Amino acid sequence: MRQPISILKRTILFAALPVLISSSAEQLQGQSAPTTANTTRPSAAENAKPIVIASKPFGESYLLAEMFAQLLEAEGVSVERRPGLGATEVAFRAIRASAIDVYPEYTGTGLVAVLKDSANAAMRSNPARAFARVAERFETLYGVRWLPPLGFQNGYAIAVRRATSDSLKLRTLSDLSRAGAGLRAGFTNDFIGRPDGYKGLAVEYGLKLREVSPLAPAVKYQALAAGAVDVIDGYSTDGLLAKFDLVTLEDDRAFFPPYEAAALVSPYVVQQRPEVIATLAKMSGRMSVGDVREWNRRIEVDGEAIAAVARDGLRSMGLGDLAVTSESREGTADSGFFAFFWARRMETLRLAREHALLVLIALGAAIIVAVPLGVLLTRTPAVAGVAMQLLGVLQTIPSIAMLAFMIPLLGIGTVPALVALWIYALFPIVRATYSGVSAAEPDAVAASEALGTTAWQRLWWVQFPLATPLVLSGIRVAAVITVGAATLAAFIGAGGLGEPIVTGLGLADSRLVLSGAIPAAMLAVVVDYGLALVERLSRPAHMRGDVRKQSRN
Amino acid sequence: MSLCVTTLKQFGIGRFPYQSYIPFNHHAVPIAMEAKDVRQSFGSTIALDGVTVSVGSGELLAVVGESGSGKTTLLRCFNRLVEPASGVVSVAGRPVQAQSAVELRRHIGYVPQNGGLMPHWTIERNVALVPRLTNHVDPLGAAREALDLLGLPPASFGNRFPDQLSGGQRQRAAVARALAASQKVLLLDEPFGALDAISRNEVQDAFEGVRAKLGFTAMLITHDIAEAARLGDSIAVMRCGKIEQTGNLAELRDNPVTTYVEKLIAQAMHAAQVLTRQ
Repeated sequence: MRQPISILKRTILFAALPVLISSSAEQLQGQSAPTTANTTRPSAAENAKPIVIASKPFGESYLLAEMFAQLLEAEGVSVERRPGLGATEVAFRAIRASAIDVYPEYTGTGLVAVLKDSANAAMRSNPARAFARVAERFETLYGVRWLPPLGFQNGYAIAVRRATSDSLKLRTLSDLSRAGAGLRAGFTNDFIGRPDGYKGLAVEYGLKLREVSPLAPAVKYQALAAGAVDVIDGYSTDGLLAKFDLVTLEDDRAFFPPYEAAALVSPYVVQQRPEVIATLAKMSGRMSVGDVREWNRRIEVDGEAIAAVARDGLRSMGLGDLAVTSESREGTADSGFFAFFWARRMETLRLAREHALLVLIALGAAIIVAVPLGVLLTRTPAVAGVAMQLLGVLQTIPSIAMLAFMIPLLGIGTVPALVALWIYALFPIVRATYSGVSAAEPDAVAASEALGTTAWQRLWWVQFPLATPLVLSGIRVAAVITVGAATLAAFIGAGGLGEPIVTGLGLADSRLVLSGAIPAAMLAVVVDYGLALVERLSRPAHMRGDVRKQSRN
Repeated sequence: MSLCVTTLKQFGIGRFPYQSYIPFNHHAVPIAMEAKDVRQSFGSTIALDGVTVSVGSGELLAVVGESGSGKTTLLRCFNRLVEPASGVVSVAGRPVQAQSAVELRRHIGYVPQNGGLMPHWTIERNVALVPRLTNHVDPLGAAREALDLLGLPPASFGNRFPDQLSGGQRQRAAVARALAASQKVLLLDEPFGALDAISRNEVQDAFEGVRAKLGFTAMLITHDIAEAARLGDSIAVMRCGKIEQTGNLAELRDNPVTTYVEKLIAQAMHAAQVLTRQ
């Protein structure tokens, strides 16, 4: 990789970076404004704080959030969209802190993932009991309210091909346990491991399959359709169930916990925005599994724009007569990647600037703190070991968890993302500075001491200059880590090139994923080369890599 | 040596303040460096076990002994890189403990075994270090002069970096650095020990030439008897933290006071004879 790129080209690449970044400061500042123009009529709530509508990163969650947003806009409530928040943990922490105001959630998830509870027999046979339980607990413990369910469940669904169903006369899970001994299953890892997944299912129904192999969510439908496996786990509203003409087996012993969809609203909305609750409640009980499965198919299979599907959905319910012209997803499912990428170029550039700015600020702040800290630690070896271990531990916290920890303290958006990125960037720089300064040419350091330099003079004249290449390589490592980690910042709504990655993953749209991942990778390469160049220039001219020019010894 | 200590005790070494003590001066000149009953240990290892030694002004004392004999520790007491647990060390008549360590070191030249030049500085800048620290009016000028003295013309060597020089050239530069601020006292810690025989001989020549011109006082640590005999006005033999005997080569050879001194000198003589005979 190194050879074909000339130094000149590398210089140009690097020189372009600050230009790219500097012009994007205003973009990042402007990003907290609503992303869709609000063209609604004025109302009493006009001057109130915009309602932040969020979703988790999968198609149906995007769709429901967009429907909430459009409906509120139609009623004159100003909204801000934060689609694709990391996971249940992130979304829940955010709504609990009123950093977001509304997002769609499922009763079973609330029960298992948030309350760490499990569904009892009564809840499994009567979803209303599960709803009553989570609604009561959430309100009491967190002040977060569940609005009445939307009308459909999106629970686990065990699916087989229609041909399998016909030939083995499979309609229910009891049928599967009777006839399944010869069938091969492909389940997601998540499902295999969960007590309310395959483990419990096998016990409840006495299910024995020929083999169970783990399958990635993205490929399980293709694997089933192609006959590589005979049984898969899915969700009851998956659009792909419709596309591949699959049969879902009825949970006749009510094993799976109910997963009724509903809007969750924040303590802020509960206390101060009754009009938001009244508006959103209009959707309660209006959606059937069939409706949602069809909408999901349009988004996931046909690649239609979420906003358009949401508008149609609202219309079919007689809600939200809207003047909003929504942006459409660029291109259609069958246009080529390059056409798609080209159509998105301006958006990609905007996201790349946003991304670069996130990295630049976090990295800059990390350098300002970490370099002096690393130097300071060389003066206090007793503290150094402990401090280094502590920073090392921070480094091992998974990015999503780190981002989730930030939410109760700093909410969602750019600030918590910057803090998380800053924390990640500290360790490599502190470690490099510390080892660079403390290991700097012992003979030279000792001689300069013996000749009468003060400790400060030794540090600034000898140790730090000698450590500079190592410090710079630490900064380079931190920069590359930060460029990568910044893609995850999209999970808490900080924007950047992670945005299309998160959305693309949620919609199983690989073009969208690539439209974020490729520029992010390119950015990492540019940063790496750029800083490698700076590192090289920091050495005296005769030490810059050409070993042949150096004299004997 | 025990004899020497007894003699000193007669003169009242235990008495304090030391200024009132009139030293037994076996030098023909005033004493420039002196250590009196200096003791130091690192953990359970005794490095200096009551060392008393003096160097006359303009003289060079070569300290020989095996590794671990305490010779480097003794050297480092003179510029306070090591603080003795007891005893008094003085330079130019003033006890070093009474001076600021940083100030003291700026007036004592120091040459370590591997040169200790700053790899990121040019030779000129390296040599100008101490003149700069002592606010010399023209540090670079002083550096160039010193380089010239050591046979490193500044025009061709001044702007090179240490790793662009041979080992011998680097040691010459290190000696130049130790002298550039007109230091009157030099500490040399096995300065030529890592060089091959030919360049060692060249650097020793250069060093002798400079010393003849400038006439500084020096203490030289070495494990090479031939070097000690060649460069030293007198030789101190150290073993296990004590000085066993001090004198010139002839004295050590003809009247060794311990079997260790006898063996040490005999071995060096034998090696020389082998070479002569071949």
